Amino acid sequence: MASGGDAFEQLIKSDLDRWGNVIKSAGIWVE
Amino acid sequence: MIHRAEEKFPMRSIWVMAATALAVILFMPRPAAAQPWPQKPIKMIVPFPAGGGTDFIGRLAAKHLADRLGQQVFVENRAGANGAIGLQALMASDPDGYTIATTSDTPMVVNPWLYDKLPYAPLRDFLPVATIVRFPGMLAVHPSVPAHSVAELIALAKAKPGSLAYASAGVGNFSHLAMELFAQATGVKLLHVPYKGTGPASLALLGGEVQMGFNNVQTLLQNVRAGQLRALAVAEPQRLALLPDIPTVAETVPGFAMAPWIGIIVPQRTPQAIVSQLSAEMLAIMRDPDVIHLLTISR
Repeated sequence: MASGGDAFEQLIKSDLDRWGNVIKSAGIWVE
Repeated sequence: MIHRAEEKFPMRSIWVMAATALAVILFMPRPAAAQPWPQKPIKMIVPFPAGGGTDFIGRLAAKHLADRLGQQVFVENRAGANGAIGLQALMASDPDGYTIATTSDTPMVVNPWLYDKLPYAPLRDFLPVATIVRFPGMLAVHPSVPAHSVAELIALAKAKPGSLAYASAGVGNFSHLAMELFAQATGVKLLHVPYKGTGPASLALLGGEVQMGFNNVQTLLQNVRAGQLRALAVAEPQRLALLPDIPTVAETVPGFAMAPWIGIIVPQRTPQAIVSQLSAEMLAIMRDPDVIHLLTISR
């Protein structure tokens, strides 16, 4: 479950890509 | 006339200069030898209010870190702006290993897409130290919904586009984004109903105001076991050992997997030796049988 810095950085990069695509595709925004 | 060096600097002068230089070297302040870290209490910023999930995990990590490091690790809750206030405070801290943060994924990987003027950039301003936990997600429906599998739910949603509603804990929350990911992956159109927090969203689902919801296994499992909700799937690559009868979403929607996480980060430029030590300590803590037991029974 837990992981060190390198794996954590890869997780952040992949989640940034994933949620960026979802949010842009869905047109989600906050005021 | 050309003067040679020894004429310009007679031997006596050279000895005087050498002795002076030696004296300067001997008596000049020496750089302090690297002190083992930590030498004083460590502040752990939690960018959410006390009592929430990130706070619970942060305090658990702080207690065990303090035990292992022999220094106090105190938690400071800096809530607001979906976690951005706390991470801005971390960014402004000295990168000396005495200010760290326990954060969920939202401020790091969701906020950059939601806010135009976010004061930080995750990988520019912070160093990832270690993930602490992941929370497997679960897709559940109200018992009145005539769908007993992910495939049946997709068929139902395609037959009635936009009529099936799901509850979320707010715009940009995991419970919102997970459903958007599901909708995009399956091509269905769902109706999003945002509530103010996980509590109201859960009540709406339990009361049948909405038909479905995505949330952590920990959040939904009690209601599933009580028959108040029907679990259709978990969002892990493989079935959970604790719930072998509940299929994965990926069995119907190949590749679908997601789980929110909580991890430790520090300001950019924190010395690598401290980052490495902190990472090793956190991994050791999360392998501690007592910690594993505590996290298991908290589900």
